[in-house]
Amino acid sequence: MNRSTDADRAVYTILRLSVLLSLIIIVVGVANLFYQLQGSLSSEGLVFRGVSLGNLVRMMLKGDPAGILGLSAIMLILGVVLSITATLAISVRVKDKSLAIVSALLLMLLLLSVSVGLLVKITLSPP
Amino acid sequence: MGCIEAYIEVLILFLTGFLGGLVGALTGLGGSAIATPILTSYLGIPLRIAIGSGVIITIANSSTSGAGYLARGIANLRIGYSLAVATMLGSIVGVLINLYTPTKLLYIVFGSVLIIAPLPGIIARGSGDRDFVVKHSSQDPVSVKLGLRGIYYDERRKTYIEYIGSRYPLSFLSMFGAGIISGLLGIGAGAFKVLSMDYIMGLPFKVSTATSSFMIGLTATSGGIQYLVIGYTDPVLVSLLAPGVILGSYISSKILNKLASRTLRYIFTAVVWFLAIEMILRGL
Repeated sequence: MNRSTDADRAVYTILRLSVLLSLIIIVVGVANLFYQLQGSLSSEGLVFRGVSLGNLVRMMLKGDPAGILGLSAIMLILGVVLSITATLAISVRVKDKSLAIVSALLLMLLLLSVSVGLLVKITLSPP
Repeated sequence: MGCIEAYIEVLILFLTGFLGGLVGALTGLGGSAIATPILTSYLGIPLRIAIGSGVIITIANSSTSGAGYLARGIANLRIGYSLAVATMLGSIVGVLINLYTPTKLLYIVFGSVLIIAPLPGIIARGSGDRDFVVKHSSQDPVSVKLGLRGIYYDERRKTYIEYIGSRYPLSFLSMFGAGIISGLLGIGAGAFKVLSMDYIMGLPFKVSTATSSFMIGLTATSGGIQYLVIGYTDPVLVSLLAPGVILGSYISSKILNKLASRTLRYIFTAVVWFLAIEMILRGL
């Protein structure tokens, strides 16, 4: 009863999968966080702080519970990136020029986001 | 027994996310727009960390609800992608503005946006059968090139509704503005996106809201990557809020949206405005 296309279905599947994987990581991560912190938690409770992508990768490699939880955020971002890539691939296959151009533009904008973020991180010092 | 404090915090954050998802979906603002003021005003989370984490939650929310609209053929992928070029560009600019805006001013801007954002939803919901009005009969050359048209099945009317999108250049500009708000405050800014698609592009209201819900994730990804790379995202905060937000907005879209009376919407809007005033007062 609807008119969804191959690209619609691919995007739907990828995004839903990314959320599902992200939620699984959250459940495992939170359980791990409490298990590891059981003995060491102070009466202050949890501490919240911003973590950069570089630190997050280091934390993940060390098996830090917060690093594992960070994987859920990366999974969500990857879901969107993969869904755009899938749209690009499908639109190239079916020779849908306008959708292919727009999808490629979106991927370039995501690259620009990373580049601008890195530039700010490296060269400038935001407040 | 120091762990009890942490368990209580986890519960509070889950409930914050749940409330954000519930109220955010009903008022069309998105979960993080409601969760961020609660986090900063009542839980003492720094504003930029709340924003940087909120934008990731927005992706989760959109990937759940927006993707569903795509599968049902209500959201239009082509229109969403074409307009996301503008919102993602705007989001990059918005994050940069955020980084160099004094925190107090950021509170005031956040509060002001929370006051303005529910208004289009209230006005739109009061105007009856707008879904079936053919708003534009012709398209501009860019909209034609991009193929901005579509068809969806309307459950209520038991018929297919065809529509076209027009005035793409003007819509691009307004979407760029919505993208700036999204990047600046880490929110979906869905109300502004709907406004642009509904009034400028001339899409049916149902298609506008569904496509906006899908696009929000694209915009948030652009901002989310920047905040993550720079270091304003807290993975623990994201993980504790996200399940609540997803559950809250799911309940809202599946149950409350069908049951909710106009009075209930007004009450929730009043809650948003209360949070908005608190944010503004923090900035003064």
